[in-house]
Amino acid sequence: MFRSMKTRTALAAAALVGAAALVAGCSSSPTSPSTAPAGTGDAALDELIAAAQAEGEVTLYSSLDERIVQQIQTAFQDEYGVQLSYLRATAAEISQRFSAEADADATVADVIVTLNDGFLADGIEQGRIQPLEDADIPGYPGEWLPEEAQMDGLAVVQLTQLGMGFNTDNAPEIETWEDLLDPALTGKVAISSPDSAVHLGLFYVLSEEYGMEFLEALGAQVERVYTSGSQVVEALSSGEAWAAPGTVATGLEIAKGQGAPLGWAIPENTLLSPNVMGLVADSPHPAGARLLSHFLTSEEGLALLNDSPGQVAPSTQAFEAGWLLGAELSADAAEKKAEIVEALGI
Amino acid sequence: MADAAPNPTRADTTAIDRREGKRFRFTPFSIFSGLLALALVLLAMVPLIAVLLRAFIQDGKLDFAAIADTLAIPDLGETLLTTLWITLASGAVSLVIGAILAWLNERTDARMGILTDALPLIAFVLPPIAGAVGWVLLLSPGAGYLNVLIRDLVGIFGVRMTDGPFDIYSWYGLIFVYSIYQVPFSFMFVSAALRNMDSSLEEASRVAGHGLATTLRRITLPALAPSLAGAALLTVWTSLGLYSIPSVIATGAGMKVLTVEIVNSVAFTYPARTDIAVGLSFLMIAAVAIVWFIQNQVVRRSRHAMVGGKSRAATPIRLGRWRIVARIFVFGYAFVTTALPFLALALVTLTGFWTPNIDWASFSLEPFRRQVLENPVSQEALANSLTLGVVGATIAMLAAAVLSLFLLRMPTRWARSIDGAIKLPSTLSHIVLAVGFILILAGPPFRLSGTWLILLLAYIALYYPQGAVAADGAAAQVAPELAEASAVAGASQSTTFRRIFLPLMVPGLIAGWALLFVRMVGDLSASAILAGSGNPVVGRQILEVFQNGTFSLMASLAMTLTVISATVVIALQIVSRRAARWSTQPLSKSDLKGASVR
Repeated sequence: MFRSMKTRTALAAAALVGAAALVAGCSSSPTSPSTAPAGTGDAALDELIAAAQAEGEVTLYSSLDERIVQQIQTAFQDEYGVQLSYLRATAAEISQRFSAEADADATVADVIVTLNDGFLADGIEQGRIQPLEDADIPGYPGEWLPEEAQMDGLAVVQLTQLGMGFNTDNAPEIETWEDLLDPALTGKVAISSPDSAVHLGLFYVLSEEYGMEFLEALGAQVERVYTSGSQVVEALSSGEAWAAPGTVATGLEIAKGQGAPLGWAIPENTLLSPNVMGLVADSPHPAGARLLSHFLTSEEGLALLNDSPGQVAPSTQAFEAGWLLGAELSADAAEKKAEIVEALGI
Repeated sequence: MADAAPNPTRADTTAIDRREGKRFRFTPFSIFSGLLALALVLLAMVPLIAVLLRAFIQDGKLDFAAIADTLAIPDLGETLLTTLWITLASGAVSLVIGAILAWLNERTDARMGILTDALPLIAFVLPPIAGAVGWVLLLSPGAGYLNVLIRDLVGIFGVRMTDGPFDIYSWYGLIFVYSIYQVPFSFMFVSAALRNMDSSLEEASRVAGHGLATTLRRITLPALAPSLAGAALLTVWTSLGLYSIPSVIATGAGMKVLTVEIVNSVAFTYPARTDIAVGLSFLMIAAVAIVWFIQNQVVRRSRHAMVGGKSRAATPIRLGRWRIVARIFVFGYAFVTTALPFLALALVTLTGFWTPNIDWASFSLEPFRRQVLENPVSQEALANSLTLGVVGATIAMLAAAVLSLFLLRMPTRWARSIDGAIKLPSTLSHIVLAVGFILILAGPPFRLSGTWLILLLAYIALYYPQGAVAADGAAAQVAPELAEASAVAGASQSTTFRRIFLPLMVPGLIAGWALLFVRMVGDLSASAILAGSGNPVVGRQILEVFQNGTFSLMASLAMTLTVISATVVIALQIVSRRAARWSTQPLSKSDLKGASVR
């Protein structure tokens, strides 16, 4: 009930924004035939590329996995001949660094891709982030970016699905959240600390979906609380823990590739942690910023961003498969944090 | 200076100066020192003030709601008690172990040259986050390598266990790992002091028929007081500031530690609660201030551990049949605290993932190849960090040497204020201060955002105090008579600094340099905010892999850093010992010509 209300509000807002954006976007969509043989076939885009090349190196601040950022860096440089530098940091670090730089009148970032924690939305309100729809980005929003992904001037470019990891030597195959309550897993479930907004969000969603009793039952299964992704992956690999909710498949896949007995599943009604893109309003490289925004919302960019297991491109179908982590959900979760921690008994 | 005849007027003035206590004199050297002090005060205080203004001024009005919010944090009392208990317990353990190791190495025939000089320090060059992970790999109750090994061994005798016997996720596990990271401080401090200390008093005591215990109690320990106080200050300081170890171990043990709470409020929440982080940091500052005050009293009152004008190397005490026991203790300590976690990390790198069922045939260097050899960012980060470490530690230690003398000769109240202004900000959360650096240095006119220089300045501001503690101890050990003799001989203050103090302080300064180098090279707190793809550093890379990768990738990078840092620290130990030998030789005649030292 709660969830459907959330989804509806979000959909309505997204539809409004999306419709407006579509109208704006259509005028410059890449339909016209090629004008210059070496160009992209889109005059506006060609012009933007030339302007970006003249400006020089463009900077991306992002909380994405470093491997993904490196792939984007290479692809962007190859495609447009514009250098891309990046800052890889946690969402909170990015917000602090960007705000401090803006306060000091020394903005470095051109484009920011980070968790949907309200920081970019606040930025739009403060005029520090420019709504994408108003930025005259060639081909934006393209057909690969559904309405749900266009949120109030920002764009969801990546969805991370929180899944479950398990040790295939010890644990029975698990598929649903309820499987974690299997008596065979008592004292063998690893969880991540609810001090992290993402994991607090997941526990909140589980409590809304299955009630606080579920968290209490889950708390009784818990082996240990961990603070980092690698700790959970290794606890599962070693058999110290047998199953863990809230894992991201990427780390599990690396260890699995090195022979660790790991499996993972993405249950229905999971938490989707989106990475959203914002265009910096007074960015030092306005053309480069728009070009990078174009690239990251293009078919190729979205494919690169969502290349890893556990990550899905922001399709309508993907949005329907779970709860979207956003400022609102985070605020609701934060309010219930004490209750959640108590139910888990940690 | 050799041609300067004793100047009666000048000698008289010096004598009056001495009688009246300290009197400040304007010389080129003191002006230079004053400017240096000012620069360091600005470097430390301005970012802090910028952060405070931003955190406590809302809409142009002062707002202290954060204090109430800080005090309202659930379980604050419990968090403080846990932190205090861990800090004190690990501090006491490490002081005792460090002092024993240093004494065995410097005063007895258990010493085995560079081997025993450097062994106790190696634990230190393993970045704390890697060290903490190493101990988790060894002592996790279920799959910890050591626990599995012990269970297999007792299994031979028919004892069946499924868990333990050790559990790293416990109060003793946490204190144990904290202590490992504090022992090098006390070892370095006490070693340098013993090396510099005139051993003739100890020998006189022994000649007079006093036993080892009486000599230790009545001569050695009182003489070591400044160094022990310095070591105690540093252990409290650094253990309050440790983040990686409690983050990895205390969270798993269900214990709450102050730094973890501080980092949570700024690094994992949006909007960042910098005000709460500052509020919590003030609690830490209070603790450090108390210890710092005590250390100050001890250093400034103590007149025991002076380097006289004449000194010679101590004759090692013969331990007889205890020698082998002492050596086993030293090696055992080094093996347990250093080799074991390093081996655990090596093992997880070779197997690719953590497993107690080791398949020796599947060993590969794949994680190392992937994270170090074929990763250009890691390589650039390593190069950047090492350069920053060398440059930053050198600048900071030279500044610390100059200032420690400058402050010793200033009126106490002034000295204490300047000292405090430079040192206290660094006890705040480094992440909070890093934000201050961006506020001050990223914008016009400096525009240092994303540069090497902003990291260098931040490292100096954050780590200078740790080097200063080493320099203060070294400066306090140089007898004022030597400086007076030099002044009487007509030498300027800068000549006295260069020819008397610097050489005599060298062992202490090198110990401090090594400390700063290791800290700066492995920094992952300030770098988290200040480093980027334009200025990557290795601590940041290690943290990155820890958060999102696997232990094997993290271990391969951390071990590379460890091997490089260890090489540097061992090389310095050799240099330090040579320097000490040189400085304990009687000073050359030209240095002392015309002055009556005795």
